[in-house]
Amino acid sequence: MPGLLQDLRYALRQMRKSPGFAATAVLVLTLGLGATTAPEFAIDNLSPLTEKVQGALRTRQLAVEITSAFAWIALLLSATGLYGVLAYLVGQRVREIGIRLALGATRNNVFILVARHGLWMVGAGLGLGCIGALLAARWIRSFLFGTTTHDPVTYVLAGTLVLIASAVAILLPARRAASIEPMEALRTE
Amino acid sequence: MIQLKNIERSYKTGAGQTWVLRRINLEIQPGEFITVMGPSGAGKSSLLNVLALLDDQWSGEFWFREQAAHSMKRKERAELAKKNVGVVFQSYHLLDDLTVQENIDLPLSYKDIPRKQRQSLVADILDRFQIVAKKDLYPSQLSGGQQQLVGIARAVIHKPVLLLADEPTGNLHSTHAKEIMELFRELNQEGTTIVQVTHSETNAAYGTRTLQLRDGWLAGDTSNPSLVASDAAVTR
Repeated sequence: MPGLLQDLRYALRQMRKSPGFAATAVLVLTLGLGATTAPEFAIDNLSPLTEKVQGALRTRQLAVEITSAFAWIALLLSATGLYGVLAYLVGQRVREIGIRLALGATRNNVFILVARHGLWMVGAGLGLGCIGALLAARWIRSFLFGTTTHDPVTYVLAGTLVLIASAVAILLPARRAASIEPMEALRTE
Repeated sequence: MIQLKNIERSYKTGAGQTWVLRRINLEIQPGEFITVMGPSGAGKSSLLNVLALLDDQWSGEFWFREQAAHSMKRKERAELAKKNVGVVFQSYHLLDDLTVQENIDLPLSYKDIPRKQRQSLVADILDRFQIVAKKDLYPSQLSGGQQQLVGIARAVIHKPVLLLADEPTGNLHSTHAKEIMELFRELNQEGTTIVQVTHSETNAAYGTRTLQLRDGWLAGDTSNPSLVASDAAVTR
């Protein structure tokens, strides 16, 4: 204890000798002590509220994004598949189309013949798709926000999107069929 | 009824241009029964395709009942053919997934005719060709002769003024061939103008006029014996 008092007296003497240094040292030590002994008052990780909200929803958003990506892939695949089936069908029906043209069918008649076939397939697909969606809706109910599992607008919009993609897929084979030369086609056996 | 003036047709091939019809000048009168003969590759079927207005890549003048087919658009030509021409094919060309009556109805279905009237026309022709019992059968269930009978019924159901037949008996037994040719004669006697392509002299005998084609040139015409002397000289 006497040693401690001796040290204290020595320190005070030094501080009197250089008051500027002493003041700086005291201030730094005060702040250092304050920062280490009361960390709850430190503001070192500022972030906007939206970011915090997004962080909390990240898992759900990821699930939605993956589902959307799968939906777009499914749309692309169905359009490609429809195009492939119709193109194959037109290839198989070249002779028939030639006969129809030779018997008085117009190019429009042939276009409608092929397009109608495609639309039947799209109609059947949409019908089955709607039933499937209604049945599967309960599995995605927890991911939905601002809509319901039986929202008619969503169904109509999705159906319209499928129809547009299908129309593009139908257009090419139907146009090809309508441009078949009857003379060439009749030579096909 | 038909006038062809300097009709030419060629195909572009790897080796250049191949001519299948050369400067064809031909006049067909209503009620004629014309036979087109010649070796394979002479241009017989090509000429028939031009007459049927199925081909539109030819050059020259084509007058069909005073109408200039050569200056018509593709759609107009198709319309002209639909109204006036019937075609019978060597391999029948019936649609396999349609019944006999549906096949016969096919040309009518592309015309603006009410369904009831179509049904009546089909019933009449089935009766006339004595194939009523076959009306619900599919082509695969018929013999070659019966299929050709259906093919002819289909070609004449809309009462065309011109009936074109590309080797109509080429795939048939001689008995059936005779029946088919008798039918053509009957249709011709009723006023239908017929142009047939054949290799058979027997079938040619049913006709009233014979044309000979050689390498795309009209080399002979029984109604114009001087043709060989004048036009064929061009070929040499």
